[in-house]
Amino acid sequence: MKKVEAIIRPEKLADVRTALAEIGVPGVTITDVKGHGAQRGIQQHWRGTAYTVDLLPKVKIETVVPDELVERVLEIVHETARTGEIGDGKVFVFEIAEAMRVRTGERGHGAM
Amino acid sequence: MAVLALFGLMLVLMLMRVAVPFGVKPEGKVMREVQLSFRERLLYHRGSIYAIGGVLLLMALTGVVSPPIELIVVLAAFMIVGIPIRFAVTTKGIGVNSVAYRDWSDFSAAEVGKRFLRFVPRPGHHSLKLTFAAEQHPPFMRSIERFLPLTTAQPTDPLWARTRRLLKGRIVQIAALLIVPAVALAFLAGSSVALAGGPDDPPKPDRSGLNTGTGTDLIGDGTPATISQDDFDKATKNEPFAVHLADWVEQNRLASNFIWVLVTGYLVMFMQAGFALVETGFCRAKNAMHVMLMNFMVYGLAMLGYFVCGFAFQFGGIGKVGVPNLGGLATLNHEATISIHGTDWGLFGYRGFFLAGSGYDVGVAVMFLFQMVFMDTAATIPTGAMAERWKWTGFVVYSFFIGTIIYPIFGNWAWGGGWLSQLGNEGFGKGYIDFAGSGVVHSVGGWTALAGAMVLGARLGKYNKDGTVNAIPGHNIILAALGTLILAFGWFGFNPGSTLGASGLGNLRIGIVATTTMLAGAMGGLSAMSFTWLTNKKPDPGMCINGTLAGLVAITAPSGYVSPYFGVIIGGIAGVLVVLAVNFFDRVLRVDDPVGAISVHGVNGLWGVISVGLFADGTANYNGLSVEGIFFGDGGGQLGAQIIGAVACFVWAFGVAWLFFKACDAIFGIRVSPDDELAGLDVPELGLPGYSPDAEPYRAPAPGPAPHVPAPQPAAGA
Repeated sequence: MKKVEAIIRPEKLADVRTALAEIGVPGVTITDVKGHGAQRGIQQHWRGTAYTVDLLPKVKIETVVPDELVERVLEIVHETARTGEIGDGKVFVFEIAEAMRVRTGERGHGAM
Repeated sequence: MAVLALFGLMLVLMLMRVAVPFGVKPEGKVMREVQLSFRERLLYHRGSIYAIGGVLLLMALTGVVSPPIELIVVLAAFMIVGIPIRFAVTTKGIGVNSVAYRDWSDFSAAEVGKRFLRFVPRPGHHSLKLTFAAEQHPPFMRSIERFLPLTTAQPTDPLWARTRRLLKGRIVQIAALLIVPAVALAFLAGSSVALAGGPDDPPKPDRSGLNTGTGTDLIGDGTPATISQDDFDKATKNEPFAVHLADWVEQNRLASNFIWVLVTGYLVMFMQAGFALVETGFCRAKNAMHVMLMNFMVYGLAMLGYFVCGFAFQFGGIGKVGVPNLGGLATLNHEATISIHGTDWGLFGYRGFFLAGSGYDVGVAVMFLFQMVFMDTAATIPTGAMAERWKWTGFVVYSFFIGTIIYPIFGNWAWGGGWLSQLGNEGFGKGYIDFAGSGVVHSVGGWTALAGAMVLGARLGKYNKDGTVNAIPGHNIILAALGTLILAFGWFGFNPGSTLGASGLGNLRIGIVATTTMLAGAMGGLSAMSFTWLTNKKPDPGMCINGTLAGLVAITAPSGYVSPYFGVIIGGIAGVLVVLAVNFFDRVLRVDDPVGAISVHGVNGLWGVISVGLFADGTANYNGLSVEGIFFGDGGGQLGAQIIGAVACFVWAFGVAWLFFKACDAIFGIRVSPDDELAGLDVPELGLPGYSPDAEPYRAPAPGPAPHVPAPQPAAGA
């Protein structure tokens, strides 16, 4: 089991979710996050005074998938969330030690 | 008049020293309290008592003021001296009467003098001086010594030595200072101050509404909708039924006026909601509750002040001018005047305190409701400019002050029959003309806001050490936009309602007034959008909002006298003016105004006042009053009156407000602590955040040994 954590543009969320559902990813957790990477922030105006917003809103998708599905998930994120501009986001993959379904107490793969 | 003002000032100062309401409670545990004896309280107030005594002496010598006033003042002073004064030492600081509280960390030492204890401030803090005989309260002094080193104050030089040191080398300045009063005295020579008001036999107030509006009101000079005296006398003799009919006609005319003024007054009241939303939206989420509650409470606080004496000061003498639209209001007939060069210039009215006696009248009540919501509009303007750093105590005291003094006095000068409205006697057109209050309401509010924002200083984080300016964006521009639309709606009461009537005497112009107002507001937003689009490459939403308000503020004074065409021009100029003014106050004067209230109301109120003298076209005729601007045949006299009015407005509102805020700051401090400001004022000041997640019911475990936590079981499926 691996956890895939993808930080992407908020407006790409619907596309990525649809594509993930098509390959049978069982569930996702979505969080609104703020942050910055290589992207330097954008200029905004408040009543005549310019200011820089360097923490930009992003969406974090977390999903736990069987090992064999990880490559496919990465491909899908790359295909659907990419615009080619700075600020497309990052994906991180983690090892998962254990999982449990709260309703039944099932452990491991059965909990997915 | 100055005499009474001085009395009032002294009494207010005495009250403020002992009973600043709703102050900050002392923090920490109260360790020791000392209650001042009556003699010590006299000592505490001695400055004011000497001043009142001096004024009494002066009055006895000159016989200016009639007897009951002195008696009332002396009684009031005695009552204030009767209020107990307690100094409390707590573990964290020292408080006077448990309200005006200071931290120990504000001070570096305490000096014990002969009859005072002075706390020496650390740099950047205010000194605090307590007047009492220290040697009579040894336990109290010992408890102070636990926190601050006590030193003996050096005996000061005698008064004459200090005076000589002060005067040395300043002869020129002193001479210059003396010239001003000398010139003023020469100007005032032969003038006299008069409090004596109306006739000995005052008209009776009408409480049932049965006697207001009779056919005799229709007798006039033969202009449409009036009857000549001859015709009326003939009808009385030959056609009594026609005279009864005339009574009904006049009462119905007044009824339509009453309804119009009341309904427009309700609309203006709704503008409070608009102001609350604009100001809250333009401020940060962490201060939302504080800004909203200021806008919420200023309604009642300032209203109480206006009810007690503000209305009487503003309109106590309006009956001499007459308000035929509302039945005359002849019962309000006392105006204090100063007679200079043959004219009795009005200074303030003094009838209708508490709406009692002559103020308890059907017409006066309509007038009060309408004028009260106008006053609240002015009162709610500084809450925006001073938001996010204003201590609640300071706000409460301010609310009473603007409702009793700042607004009503200038309002009397312009609308209550005071000296600005009489400028026509000296050749200045028709006198200062301010149809619905660009000057009286908006400039007064704006300049008060400027004084307050200057005394408070900028918000933390607004200006950097290198001189650059930070934007502090508001948290909800949607609320601000909604509030602006509510304000624009309320303005349909503000301007058209200021005819004070709908029927007869030229009041049918209400439709033109409303249309002009609508055009100017919309054009203000449009020109601000275009201007920021050109300069910033994008239309600035905040400026669109401010531009709309600026257009509405600017058209307020001229709306009754200009054509819709000039409404568009006045509003259009206002939209650009507000953008320039915001940048000017932000960058050049470096006055921090979170919502742009000074630019919107102060600057554009001034522009509105001036524009009357430019674009008034002389077609309006309100009971014979018709105004022409410099582009429509006036020789400049009207413009002169408008300029005098605008200057008087700035001098009065800014000057008095600045002194007031400075005094408040020195006495109890009107700015919150930096910690509270950074945390947001909602919780430190009010104990309730404006926005918070729903509180989950949660019961804290009872104190005791920690509960036993079972060791985790090994995972079944692993």
